[in-house]
Amino acid sequence: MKPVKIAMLSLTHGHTRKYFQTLLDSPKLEWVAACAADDVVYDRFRRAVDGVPCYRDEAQMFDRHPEIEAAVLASANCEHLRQVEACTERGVHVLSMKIPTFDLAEYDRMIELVDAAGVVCQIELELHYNPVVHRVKRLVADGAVGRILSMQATNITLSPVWAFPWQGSPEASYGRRVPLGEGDPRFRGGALCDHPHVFDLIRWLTGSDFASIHAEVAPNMRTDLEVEDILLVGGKMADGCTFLLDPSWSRLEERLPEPGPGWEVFPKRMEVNLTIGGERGTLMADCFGPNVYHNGAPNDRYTVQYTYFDEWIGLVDEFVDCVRRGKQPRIDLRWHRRTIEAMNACYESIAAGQPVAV
Amino acid sequence: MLPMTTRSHWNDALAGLLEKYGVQPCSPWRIAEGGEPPDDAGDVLTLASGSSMTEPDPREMTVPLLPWRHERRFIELRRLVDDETVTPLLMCRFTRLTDGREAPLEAILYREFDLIEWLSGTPIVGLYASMAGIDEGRAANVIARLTGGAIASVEAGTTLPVGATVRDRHELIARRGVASDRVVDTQVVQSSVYAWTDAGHEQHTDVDAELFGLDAAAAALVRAAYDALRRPESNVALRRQHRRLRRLVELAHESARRGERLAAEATERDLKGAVRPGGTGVSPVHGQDAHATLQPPCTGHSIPPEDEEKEGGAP
Repeated sequence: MKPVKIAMLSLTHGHTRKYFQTLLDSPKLEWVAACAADDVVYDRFRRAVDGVPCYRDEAQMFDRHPEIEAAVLASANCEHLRQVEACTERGVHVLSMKIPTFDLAEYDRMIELVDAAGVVCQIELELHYNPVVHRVKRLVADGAVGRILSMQATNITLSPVWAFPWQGSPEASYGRRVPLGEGDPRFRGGALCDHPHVFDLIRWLTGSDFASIHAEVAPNMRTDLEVEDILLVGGKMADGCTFLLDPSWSRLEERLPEPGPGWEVFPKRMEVNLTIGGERGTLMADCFGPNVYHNGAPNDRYTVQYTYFDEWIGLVDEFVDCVRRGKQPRIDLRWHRRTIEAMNACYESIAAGQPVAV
Repeated sequence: MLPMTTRSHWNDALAGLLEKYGVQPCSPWRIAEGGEPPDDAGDVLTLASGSSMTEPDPREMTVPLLPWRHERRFIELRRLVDDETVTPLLMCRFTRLTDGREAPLEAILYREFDLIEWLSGTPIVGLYASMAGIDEGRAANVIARLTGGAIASVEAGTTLPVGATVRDRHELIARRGVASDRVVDTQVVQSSVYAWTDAGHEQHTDVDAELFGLDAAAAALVRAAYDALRRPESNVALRRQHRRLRRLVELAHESARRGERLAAEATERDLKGAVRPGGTGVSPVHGQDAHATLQPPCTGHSIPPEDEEKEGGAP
């Protein structure tokens, strides 16, 4: 199969570095160019990657490299619609970050653009390519626990805002400045916006969709953020399954300008754990464990050293397969829209102080 | 832990990787469950774990693999040493208990000796072993010394009941920090998935999405075989390290028989197989060609640096 000639845009998303090795190593890709959003990001890129031209202007990059077939939108959420427009008008396939946009009018515009251009738009929800999630899906599909009655899931991390400031900006993350609730000084755009994975997984595992959602937000752990960082989400799926999700930034971090060793204060910087109760049994899973552990440099704190990080290989494999064979990705814009609606419903519930129907 | 999958699965998985990444081996190949290649192997390259090969110099068309070096947990432990996250390394404490079918005592010692040298980046220069059980093949305790002055222990046993899951633990103790493949305050191995269902209790640990369906040990074997086919030039070093490890295992037996601490002499050539650049450093030991001899233990010290950012976690 001919390698797909790919570019990366912006380089400001927290997942940017995850792609570097995959884009360099995968025989299915030829990484032809990148475009940095600012000078700081440009310098970081130059330090991390050799041999890939990096631009500061997207149009210039596309003009100089008409061979680009696909682009990774490694950017702030507020940039996505503009970049989808730029890609689709050139017939460039899109690998989008996990939140295309929270604005459903913008979202539908993206669907129109992608459909009209006839390109692939895959949403990056890399947990689908995690081997533990693969096992869980298989067990559930095989009926190991029977019909699912309840699901609890964590998608808890440290806060990335110090390294990726747009994630603490209501406008850049949520798309506009919407107060969490009456009298609340905080705005939409924090931890919830960073953690769509469990909202997606429960849909996959139950085969059902959200019926009602109730969300509560706690006082912030980081009092200097203007977006939420601790919240809980409960509710029911249309098939009756009850759920409880924790999509918080409840793991404290050192405020590093660039992710690296010593980032975490709590030993495990990122956790996705699932508990699934069914009519025939219960299943518990740690999607990122077991690992190895240490209390060494730089901060001498007990720390998890992850052994899971190859999700991007499977994700890219699927993307290339879709581009070359004209297939639809498992997580495309249409599928993902209901997940975004559910996340918006969380904010509506927080504002209303009551469950909301989805 | 290989019983979860069969040899045909391993060979299919390896064929898949070779095809995916466009690797074309120079000769036909097969992964063998263990031991020497069959007499009719002909020009088929046999890939098997070195721990299952009793001959120090296997046939030419055989590659003694060191699969554990491809397990994610060991790759990360080694990274912690290489990056000087835990440094300088003072002591390794390794344990591996099996039912004897998964791995006999000699295979355990072979593997753990290699892990000591590979993770520390330093060769073993002396060891004391005591053994017990039927023909001394059920249990062994080894204390080793490494070139840089660090020490290491191996608790090996085949005393688990038949069918029991392997129990192991690898702990690296440094002046700054301790690293381990087991979480604090636990004795047994964790799994990623636990299911309690009408059909009973089951546990799963899946570590490699590309090789889904293979357990960690089988996935590591396939990765090791893939690497040997992708980089055939590495096979010389694998054979060299195999010879060295077989000698160390023999030395452990000899130490147990004599009740003495014995030195393992290594030549420069030997050390190339055991040690990497940027490891914990080597004070080369000079001597006659490649075999473990009975000599006083060596001592020394050196710990060099290297630093590299490593990012982990995302969702």
